[in-house]
Amino acid sequence: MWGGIMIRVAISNIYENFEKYFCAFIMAVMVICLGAQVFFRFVLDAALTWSEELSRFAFVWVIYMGASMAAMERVHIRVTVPQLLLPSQYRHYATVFADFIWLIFNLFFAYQGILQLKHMFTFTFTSPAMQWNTAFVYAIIPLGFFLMSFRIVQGYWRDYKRGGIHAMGVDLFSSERSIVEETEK
Amino acid sequence: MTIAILSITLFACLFLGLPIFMSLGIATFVSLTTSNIPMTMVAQTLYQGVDKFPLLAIPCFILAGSLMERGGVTQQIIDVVLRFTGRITGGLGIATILACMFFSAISGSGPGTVAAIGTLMIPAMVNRGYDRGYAGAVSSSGGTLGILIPPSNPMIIYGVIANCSIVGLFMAGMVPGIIIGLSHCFVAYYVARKLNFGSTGEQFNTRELLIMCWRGKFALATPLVILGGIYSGIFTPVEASVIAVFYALLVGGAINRKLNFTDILESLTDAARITGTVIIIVGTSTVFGQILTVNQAPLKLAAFITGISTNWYVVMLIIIVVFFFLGMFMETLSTIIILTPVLLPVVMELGIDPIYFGVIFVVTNEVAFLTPPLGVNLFVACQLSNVSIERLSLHVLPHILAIVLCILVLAFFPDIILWLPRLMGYAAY
Repeated sequence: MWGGIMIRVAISNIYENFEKYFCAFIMAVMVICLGAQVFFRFVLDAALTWSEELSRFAFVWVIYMGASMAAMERVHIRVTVPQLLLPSQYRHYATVFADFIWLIFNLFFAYQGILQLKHMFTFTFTSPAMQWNTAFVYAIIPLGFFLMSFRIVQGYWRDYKRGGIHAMGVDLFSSERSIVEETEK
Repeated sequence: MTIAILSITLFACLFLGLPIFMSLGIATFVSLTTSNIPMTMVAQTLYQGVDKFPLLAIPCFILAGSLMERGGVTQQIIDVVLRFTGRITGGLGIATILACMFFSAISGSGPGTVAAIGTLMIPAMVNRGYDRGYAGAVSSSGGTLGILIPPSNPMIIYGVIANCSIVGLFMAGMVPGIIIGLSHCFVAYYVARKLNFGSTGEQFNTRELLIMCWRGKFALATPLVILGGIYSGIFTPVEASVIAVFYALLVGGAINRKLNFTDILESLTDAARITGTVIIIVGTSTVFGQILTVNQAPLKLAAFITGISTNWYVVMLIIIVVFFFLGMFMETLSTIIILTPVLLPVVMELGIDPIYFGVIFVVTNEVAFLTPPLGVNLFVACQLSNVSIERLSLHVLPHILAIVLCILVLAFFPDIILWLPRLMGYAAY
């Protein structure tokens, strides 16, 4: 019984923090690759062929995974000043509207990413150094945008369960809080 | 026509409060539908727009700064700086600025510097009876140096977009950084004397200073490792950033013994978070910039500006005023990402050095950090000092004035910015 609970806790932890752990992992891969490259160049006086390529792949993956993490934490950078002109009880409706548009275009970009992937699986490109099929690397575009969309919906769903329609997007608003959290942590 | 659609859509999206990266993406998409460029390039450029090797230095520098902070390096810097300024009126304020200058040579971010130094210095100042507003103002304005004293994240992004030497920019930022830092010290001293804060009363003690320096020797050597390597041409900025990460792990983990697994995990996610919110903007802005160029927007803008005046000083003055205005509403890195492709051809046309222009761009963004309603450094300092943003923005006014005066001097005497890169052979003009 305890084993079952432990597994459920672990699964919900991963469900909540998937991007966080994944980002930390790819970030570490990126830094280690670059570190290895520097070590080989300056200490062993030899050049690694694969390290730059792998670190670039990792970098792009960190960007779109990190964007999904930021969507969950609601810390994406926005210009929120015009909304300050609205009366405070209407502000969050503007945010809900903006995020609705964001969601639609997110799904559109994800769809474009899938079309691109289809194309890349038909006409295979391999990366110069490691001979990887680049379609697998480009998969981050649809994956990242789908995850981002999921996290936006998830955030609003939680708001709704907590306080109905009026709670939607409320804590999302204050740009001050989000930026402070983004930089301070 | 396309330019009109592009800019109207962009402003509408920004005004509605969409994330900046998505606003750029939507504006690009809408203008693509009106031209006959195939839509399939959208997904491809989302990838290729960010696949630029020098950008890798940004997450690495953020990671290094975060590890240094958690590894006790900040405390060691402050310990040393305090020994110098103890006797002076407003000594803690001056020490805050000096510590910010020092930390700026490790970190490339403005708000990151405020958080690192302010967390320790604001409570220290409040304990000594300094005004909370003063404490917040000194920390937030000292933190602006984070982006001017190399390494600097905005400079890396500018260098990538403007296709000019990042090392050259890093050299050009040093002298203006020291000038502005010293003018902040002067303001901190003057305000403290006016408000009668007094000194800590500690006598200058060479022995103690040497003890502190010896204790913090590895922390103090960090800028030498990072900047020395870049300036001497041994490391590229990306290599230097990675070495900074491993050096931070060494100092914080093995020497100070303060880093644990959670700290490292948190630092990694910090860096990923900023990468995912800022560098993603570079991705969507690439196509945006291309569309502007294809439709000759920079040429038209250049014609418009030279229609007003062809005098170099007047043009720079106009651009600086526009930057100040935009800085009130826009986040600094976004301003650089959006405006560089538009403005760079204009200034190149007038024979202005791209390195000089980049430094002026970055310095004006220092003011943007301090001007409400969107002044990121103010938000961080507010949180740390428990002062309202209104009161804090009054307290930073003398500091803003100091930066503005420095900007005017720097803008009209480009040699101050360009002599170091010229000396090392990195400036074009």
